[in-house]
Amino acid sequence: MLKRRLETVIALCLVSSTILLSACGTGKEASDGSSAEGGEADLSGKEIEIATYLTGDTLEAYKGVIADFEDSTGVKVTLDEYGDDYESTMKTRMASNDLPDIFETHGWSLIRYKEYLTDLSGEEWAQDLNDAALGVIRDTDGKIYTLMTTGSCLGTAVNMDVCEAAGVDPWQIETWEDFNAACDKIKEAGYTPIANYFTSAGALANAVGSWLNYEGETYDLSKAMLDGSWDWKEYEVVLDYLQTWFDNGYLYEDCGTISQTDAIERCAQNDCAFVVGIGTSYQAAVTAQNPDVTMAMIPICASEEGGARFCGIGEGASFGIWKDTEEMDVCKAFLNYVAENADPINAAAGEISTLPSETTKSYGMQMMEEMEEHFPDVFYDNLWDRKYMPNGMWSVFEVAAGMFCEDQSDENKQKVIDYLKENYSDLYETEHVE
Amino acid sequence: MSKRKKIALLSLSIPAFLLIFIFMIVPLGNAVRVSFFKWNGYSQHMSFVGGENYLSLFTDDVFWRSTINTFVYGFGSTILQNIFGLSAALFVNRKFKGRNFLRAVLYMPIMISGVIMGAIMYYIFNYENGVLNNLLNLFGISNIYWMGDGVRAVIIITLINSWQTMGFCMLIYLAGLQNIPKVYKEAALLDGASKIQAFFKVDLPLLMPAVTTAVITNLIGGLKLYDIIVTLTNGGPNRKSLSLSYYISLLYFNDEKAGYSSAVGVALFVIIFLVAVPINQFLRHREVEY
Repeated sequence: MLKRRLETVIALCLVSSTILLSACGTGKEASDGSSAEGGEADLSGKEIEIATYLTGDTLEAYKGVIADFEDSTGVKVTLDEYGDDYESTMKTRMASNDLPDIFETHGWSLIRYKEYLTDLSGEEWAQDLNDAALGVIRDTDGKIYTLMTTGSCLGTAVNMDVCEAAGVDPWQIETWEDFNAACDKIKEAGYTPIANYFTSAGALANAVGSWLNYEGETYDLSKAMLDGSWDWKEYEVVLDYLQTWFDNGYLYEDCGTISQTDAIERCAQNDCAFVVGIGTSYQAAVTAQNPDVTMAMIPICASEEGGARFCGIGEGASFGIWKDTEEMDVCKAFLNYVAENADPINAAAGEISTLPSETTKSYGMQMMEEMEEHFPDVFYDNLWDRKYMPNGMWSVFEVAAGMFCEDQSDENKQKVIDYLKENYSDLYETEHVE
Repeated sequence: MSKRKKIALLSLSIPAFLLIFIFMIVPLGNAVRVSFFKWNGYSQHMSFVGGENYLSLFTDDVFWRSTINTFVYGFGSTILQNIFGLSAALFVNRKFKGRNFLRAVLYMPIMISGVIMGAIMYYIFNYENGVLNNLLNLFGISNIYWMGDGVRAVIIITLINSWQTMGFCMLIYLAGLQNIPKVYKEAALLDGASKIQAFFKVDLPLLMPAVTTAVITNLIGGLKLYDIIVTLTNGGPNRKSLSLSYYISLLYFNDEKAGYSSAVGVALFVIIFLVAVPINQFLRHREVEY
């Protein structure tokens, strides 16, 4: 009797262990492998997994496109909405080399995800991508690894109502000197001139090309940045300028702890004028909160008269295919479908369109067109850190921003530079050893 | 007990051991292994660096700051939770109208997740338009930048955590108080003991099992504090309100220093072990059987 009970107990243990172990495995069903190659009819019944970083309206628009794709092909799409946990989750999945069939590359298709992605340069839609997109997602071998339906265009966000109330014409701002003069007037009028927040790397990374890369012979440091020989002492000029924002009281008292959400809220309440180095989705979010606010975008200022005023272009809604997916044909069909039906995604994102769009002019495109009317010679480049810094520097700049925000003394500025230099060398070495 | 019975009983614990092995022993072993490597957390390439990550702990200011914060969160919260939790338990153990309602109200904050609590508190302590500053403005006091200073941020987080989890402590003590036979206290009072003497000489010694449970649970919870910090301060200003748990997460997923992050994780494990085990032993020796 006892023996029988013991056998039953052991059997139960084995069953529960099996259930536990199978639960730990991937939830994805294996491909049945029965379909023939090619032909739209063959896709029916297949399944793919897509992971996304998108949220809000853009996510809803994307879901709409996915639903249409499912209806027209019979493919079942599982969408993983990771939100704020996206990067952590993807890093974990990269470590275990178990990635979704399609996943969002959110600005990192080349320097972080490339070794996991499929070359898509031969796809039909790749020929339709505009130069702004290709400048960001094409590597030196001419390969592209992501379908970039929208791009984020980073410049200086402007609250036109606040500027008007303070008697400032933002379209006349060309250099940082002009910018500070405008900030003085805005401050005098009782507003906060700049809503930049130092919980983000934005201020220390997005706008710095102005001093370091885009002034021709004077500051031609780009090559040194890319070959690892850059002298970080050159970065002092950036911190010296940013210090004027603190010294002159242009920033919010709590700029060291607020987030983008706070900056959006305060701008929507007509409390502040500028955010430097931010994408057009910021303006879209402000006007969504308060439709009566008039927002615009101007380029990031030139460091001196005659220098380049620039905007950074980064990946917006961008998706690549895992190189080891078992459903390559389905994944390519899906990206083709998205490329042909990108309008709702572009309209929701508030960014710039990178594919020919006949029906919708996105919010971001309208902003850019308005900006180009006033500044026809804007210089566009990839986001500074994505182009000139090794992978991993974004979070380093984030820490440095917090350090600098707390203390702008010469001694601490040197500490910030030492911190950046040390991590840059470390990450550069890691990237190039591998 | 027969050998067969022992085996049968042992086999019942296999699922629990299996779960502990898969979700605790294996990750811990892997963390120790990874701590000897330089790795970004996702690349297929890792380079062996020996004890370099452990040596880096000694020169990392953020690590030491986070360690101090962790002790403040752990011990600060434990002391406050137990004092207020026991006080609340003694109060709601009396018979009065609305007692059950009050118990529910005091227990309610624990039912809110730490993430949500942090987000709520963010809007209360916000510098611009924060509820607290708006109230101060009504009395003519200008805005205070509550989270602008690391020490103040740590104190505020400790207070919030203590308040939120006090209800849990109250529940443990309430159960403990209700299990103490009334005859002991009645005898003490008949013998002329004051109420305070009866509490310290009768109730408290008999409550020691509950104290052990409450202190150890709260201490471990405080030492692992993570969620409130994420949404309330995000570790700021300038990473000065980080706990070691959050620092580990930032190092691994944000800073891409998985090897070093693992070394900090191992250090945290050792710290919790060295703190929790002696305290547990100390409290167990003070438990009274009746």
